[in-house]
Amino acid sequence: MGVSQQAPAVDRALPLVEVQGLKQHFPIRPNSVERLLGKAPRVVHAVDGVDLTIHRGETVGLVGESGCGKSTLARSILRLHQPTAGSVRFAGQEITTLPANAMRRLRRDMQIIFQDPFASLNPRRTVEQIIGLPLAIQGVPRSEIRERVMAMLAKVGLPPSALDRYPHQFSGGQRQRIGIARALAVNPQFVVADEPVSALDVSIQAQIINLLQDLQAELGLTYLFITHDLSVVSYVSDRIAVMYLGRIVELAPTEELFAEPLHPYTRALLSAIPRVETRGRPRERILLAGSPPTPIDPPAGCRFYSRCYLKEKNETCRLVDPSLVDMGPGHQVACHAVAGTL
Amino acid sequence: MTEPVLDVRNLKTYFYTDRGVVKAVDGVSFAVHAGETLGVVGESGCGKSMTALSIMGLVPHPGRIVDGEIRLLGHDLVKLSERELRRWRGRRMAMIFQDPLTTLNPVLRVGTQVTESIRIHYGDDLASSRRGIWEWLEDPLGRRRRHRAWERALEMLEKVGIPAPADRMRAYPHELSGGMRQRIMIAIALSCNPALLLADEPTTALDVTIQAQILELMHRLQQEFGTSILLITHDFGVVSEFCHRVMVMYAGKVVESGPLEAILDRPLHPYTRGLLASIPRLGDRRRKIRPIEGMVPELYDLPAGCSYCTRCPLADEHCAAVEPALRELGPGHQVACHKAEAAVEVGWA
Repeated sequence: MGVSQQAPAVDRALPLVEVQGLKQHFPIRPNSVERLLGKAPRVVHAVDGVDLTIHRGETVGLVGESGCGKSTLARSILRLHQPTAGSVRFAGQEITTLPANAMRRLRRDMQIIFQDPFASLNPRRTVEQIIGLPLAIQGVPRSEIRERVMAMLAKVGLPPSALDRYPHQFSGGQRQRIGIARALAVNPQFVVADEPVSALDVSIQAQIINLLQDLQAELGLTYLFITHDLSVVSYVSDRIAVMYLGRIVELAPTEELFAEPLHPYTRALLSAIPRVETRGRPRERILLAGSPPTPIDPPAGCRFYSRCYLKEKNETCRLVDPSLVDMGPGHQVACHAVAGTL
Repeated sequence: MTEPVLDVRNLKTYFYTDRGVVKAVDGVSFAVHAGETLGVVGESGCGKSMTALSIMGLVPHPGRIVDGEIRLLGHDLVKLSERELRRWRGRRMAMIFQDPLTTLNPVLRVGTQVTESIRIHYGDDLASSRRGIWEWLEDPLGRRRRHRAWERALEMLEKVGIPAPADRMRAYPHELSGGMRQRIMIAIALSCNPALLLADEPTTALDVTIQAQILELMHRLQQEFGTSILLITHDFGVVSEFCHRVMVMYAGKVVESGPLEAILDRPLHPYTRGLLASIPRLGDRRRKIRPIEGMVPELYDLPAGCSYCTRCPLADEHCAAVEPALRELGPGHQVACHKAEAAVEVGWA
């Protein structure tokens, strides 16, 4: 790991990805009884009105519990789902309405690394075929592919002998390296890392995190880093967005979010993480009751209302949907009590 | 000191495979005292789960316990027959697993599954005081008996914090959330008030806010019932919040064990130090994480000496040739490393 760990300077003037009012709804197929009764189909509001700007060269962490819409948001940004509403601009270009062939060309600049290194690699293809596929799709001549795959393998720390081997011959950490090589083979600018280390052991996790950071410094990548592990995200991100039930409830620079979390959900989330420390115990812990409500027909007002523990919560919270409000430089929060709009 | 609840001595669980003998658990010794929580940490494949399964007598084919003693409340479980073991399992020791969806039976109602071990182990206590024909005359279809088991199950569900327990008893596992399922598992495990609870990554599949709820619950129930817990996890955060003592395993062996504070503040084994250095700490970006290079070696192809020597920054020829034994280097703090003293002098943690 010889490369410097220093992250490249983040250019605030240059937004790479601009998301506005993004919604991703999935209708549930009605069962036969519902169809007979002519009921309107129910809808999963997986992502329900998200605004997010990602600048060139930065890492934005996206955290939240399972089912809150993290992965769906990422996939909608990459247009792996066709968004229900809203706009996604990539390098200034609106992509939600882009025709298929232009979209395919654009995919060279936006790639994704998946969580499960066992399920996301085709077991019947060799490593060369796996990493070479995106290159072939992007029209790299066949004669050059092998060479470029070799170069990618070296970059992610795999031996050249890996070329003709199959995914099952590698360990979890090595497979994740293959996944990273595949994503980076086409020289993307923007990479979504969807829980890239969750399936790995801690010691291997650290190898992959360091690799992702080295590659970012070397290639000037912009990351959207999705994870449910707040320790990991605090380590890699410049800014962190906290999601709850299809919405971003708080967005802040990493240091600030950990020093001064504002949203009651963020505060509960941070206090719930078991920490490795022997001094200073016991720590104040906010225990949230219950689990998040279902994203099928979510509540009208604040989505966190049912689990909110603030004394100040009242009818406004239950009925009026809070929007993201600026609370300081780059620090936004969606909570009536915090923003003083009760 | 009083007799420990669980006393494992020189446990060896080997798997006889086509590719050779896999020493999944190789000479492990430890004790768990009454009301204590012992954390077992290590990477996947280091023998944590197999140690727990050996205690439960659930080692899968082609593995078997080849040597050692597992003394629970003074009785050696290794010597018990399968029939006798069944009376112990669930009654004096119980296990909860990582994934509550795969361990609960999807086609049986929650109530049936929670009452099962109560009916099996406490059948006699739940029946009337009469015996034989009189008991039968009083309760010919066993209805009262089943009813009492049901009531006890209901009480357990209430204890583990399940809202509307009577409705939940009639639900199927898929109708419940992950956290609720894990609560059901805990209710089942504790329904017969076992002396020892083996918890194999009980919160790994859960979200952090739910994990906090479950750990809090286990802590409360431990205080109420005085259960001893063997907690298997790979998460040092969980260990540091929940355990009294810690045992670090690597390639089927115990490499370090000791009180929580000693392990976290003065780790002696290079592997323990490596694990601690590789975890990103919350909100601490300046501290660089140092991964452990390489991987856990294949268990049928272990080096002759210390099994960690292939990844250890301090290893020399002596380490590769001679296997280190566990030595006591502090009060209750044991380590299996030739270089432990050197590491103390260097002072890195």
